[in-house]
Amino acid sequence: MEKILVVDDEIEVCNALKEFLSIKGYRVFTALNGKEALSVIAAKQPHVVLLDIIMPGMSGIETLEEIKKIAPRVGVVMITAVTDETLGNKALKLGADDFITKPVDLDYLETVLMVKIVDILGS
Amino acid sequence: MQAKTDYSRYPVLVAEDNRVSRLFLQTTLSGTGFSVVAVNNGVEAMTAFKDRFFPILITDWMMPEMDGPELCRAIRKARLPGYVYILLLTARDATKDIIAGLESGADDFLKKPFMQPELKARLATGVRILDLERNLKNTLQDLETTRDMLVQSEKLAAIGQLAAGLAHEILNPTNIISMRLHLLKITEALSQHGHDAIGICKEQLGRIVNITKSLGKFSRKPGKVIARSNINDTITHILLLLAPQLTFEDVNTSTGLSNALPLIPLDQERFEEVMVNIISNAVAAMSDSPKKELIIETDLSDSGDYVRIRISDTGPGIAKEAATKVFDPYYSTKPSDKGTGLGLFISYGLIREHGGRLWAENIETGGASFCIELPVTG
Repeated sequence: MEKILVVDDEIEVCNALKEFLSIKGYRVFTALNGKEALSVIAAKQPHVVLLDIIMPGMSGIETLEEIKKIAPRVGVVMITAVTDETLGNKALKLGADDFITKPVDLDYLETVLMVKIVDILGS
Repeated sequence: MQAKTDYSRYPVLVAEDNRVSRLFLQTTLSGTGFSVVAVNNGVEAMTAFKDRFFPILITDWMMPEMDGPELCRAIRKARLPGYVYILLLTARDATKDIIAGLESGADDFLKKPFMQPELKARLATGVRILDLERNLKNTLQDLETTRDMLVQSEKLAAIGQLAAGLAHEILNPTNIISMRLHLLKITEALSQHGHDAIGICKEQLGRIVNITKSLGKFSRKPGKVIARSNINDTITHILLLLAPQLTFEDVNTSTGLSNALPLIPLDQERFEEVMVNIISNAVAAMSDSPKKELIIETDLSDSGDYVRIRISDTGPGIAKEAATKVFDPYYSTKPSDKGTGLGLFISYGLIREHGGRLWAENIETGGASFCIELPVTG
């Protein structure tokens, strides 16, 4: 079963994404901040991380940089508000695989994840 | 020595009941380059001021109907568009007369009989003072314009910042609601009614997202595609895109594009957005006009630092009370189903982001112009 880690400082976002992705057959972990995300990655080795960009404390961009250090092969999809697309582009330069804008279209998210996981498992 | 002064810009009114003296004044003044109107007394002088303004008044002291000092007092009391420099002609030169004359509002004296050189010298003094007044007036006007623009730009910057912050805060809960609706739809066995309700909720969320996106645009950071571009090509491209709409609205389009423009750093997509906003507004403004003409001109500023774009229409122009508001968010003269009230607000932000300026002005012969100034070096 493919493993996804959802990182968002809002628990309701984590809950909704967890519920949806569980229905779609993924095993889902959640983390409320960057630091927690890094320890979950080390312990559970998810295939893909869904990472919110704007978070208090360690930002999504900083978290992305740390993830790339400890788990360079993990897929990272950033979630960003439409108003900060420049941050989304910055994340792509830093090694994120894609970014999705809020509000998240769950059908679209599912497609992005499927493609990403085929990539990862294929390589 | 000073360059020869152009006296014609200060028309002179002469009030003198003595025919010979009046003729002498008229001849001398015309010879010096002044444009002159002469009348017989104070009452006639006041009537002359009703028709037009004279920055210089030469008046005799002793006149029937209304004498010199009375005229001086009347002028000083009247609401006139500028300062009137008054030269009082008199045969009286006792100190108490001079004081009475000055107290009535005269600026200077000329003792009769007088010679041409003295008259000219005294008038030159008046012209010097009027020049100073004129400079002061111009400076004040420039200052007021600059102040208005500063207030406008700071106000909009503050609103933009607030809007961007707000946009972000609105999107987060919207995101959660949107995902929860989707989950409801796929996890619950809903009636048709339930499905319809979710559809409506999603549609309305879409509205929130669209308006929020627009708000966020005002202060977004410079875009990723900043390429040196020929602004004329971009304008031609936009007009091509809008051609069907312009034809449909019966709008005649003409351009005056300078072929001496340097390439300038430009975020094409955002510049197009600004142009489309302004042109759509111009077209809407002309909807009831008998003549519908859209004119787009470009040129380089005198200093060579800015490329200027002017979009003019033949609509009714901008109402005075709207002049400072057209760039405010949610200010719209269009019916609410036609405009969001955000177009010019966003355009203002986009141009400012380019280091440029956007402002509106009315054309004297009718219609309004929107002017954009974009820096040549980004």
